[in-house]
Amino acid sequence: MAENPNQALVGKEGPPSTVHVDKSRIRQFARAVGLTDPAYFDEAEAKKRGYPSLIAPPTLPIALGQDAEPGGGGGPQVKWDVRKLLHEGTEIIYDRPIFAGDVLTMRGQLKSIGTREGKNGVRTIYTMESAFYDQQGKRVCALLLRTSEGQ
Amino acid sequence: MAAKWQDVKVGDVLPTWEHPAVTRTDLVKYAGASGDYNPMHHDETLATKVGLPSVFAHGMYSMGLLSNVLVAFGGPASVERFDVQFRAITWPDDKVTCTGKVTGRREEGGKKLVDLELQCETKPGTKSIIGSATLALG
Repeated sequence: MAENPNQALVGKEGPPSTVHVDKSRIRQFARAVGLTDPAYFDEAEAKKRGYPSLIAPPTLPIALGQDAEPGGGGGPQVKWDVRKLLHEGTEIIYDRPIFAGDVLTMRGQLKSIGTREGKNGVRTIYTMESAFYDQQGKRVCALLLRTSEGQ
Repeated sequence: MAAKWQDVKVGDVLPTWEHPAVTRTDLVKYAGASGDYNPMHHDETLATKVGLPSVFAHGMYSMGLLSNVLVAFGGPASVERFDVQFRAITWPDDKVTCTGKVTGRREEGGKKLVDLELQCETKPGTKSIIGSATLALG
């Protein structure tokens, strides 16, 4: 098999970005996925549970890229054919929950390239990671998106 | 109330969470909330032009729906890890049934953890998502 030219991008990060996690985004996202727990909407209720503010829904990290600074937070530009892509899966790892008021640094990278047998031949799987760090540099969360390219 | 670790057993079935029918409005709401404006999820004209029967749901929308099972069982701060594979497309009018089962119960690094197996079904026998999660319980 020919060498994948994207191989050189593995481990490469794009420019980082500061992301402010705000209450409006949390409420909007929670509503969009059908979450009804008051801890996503009502700050007084969230504080009663011992949270500093509204807590982020489990899959909110996917939405934080849109709140990044222009050109920041993404990974390197992978060369692929967008017409041949499939979203294979997603993994989210939390070191601690995310809350409204968090100021996070978002770093995107191409984590790995793998393959799997598809119905119409081998598919190449690209795992892109967005990792979020607090102001002390401790990781809070990692979001891994697996996208495949094939026939 | 969130489940207590001492009360959880391997094999326990989590309460099912259901969305009765996905609407195009749901998909527009999710597009706005997530920032994913791929037109295949909201632009019926474009979707049918490329040969699709209609727009279809974002995979991450279904993962978001499935998160309801985790939050209802363990509480909003319990999620340590949540992993899904997308297996089938979710279409407007599909009923999404989200379910989970306990596959493990362990202590690690001072945390009381449970491992879960998860899925979303859009029709009997059609799994749109299979996944797993680890929750930390009190």
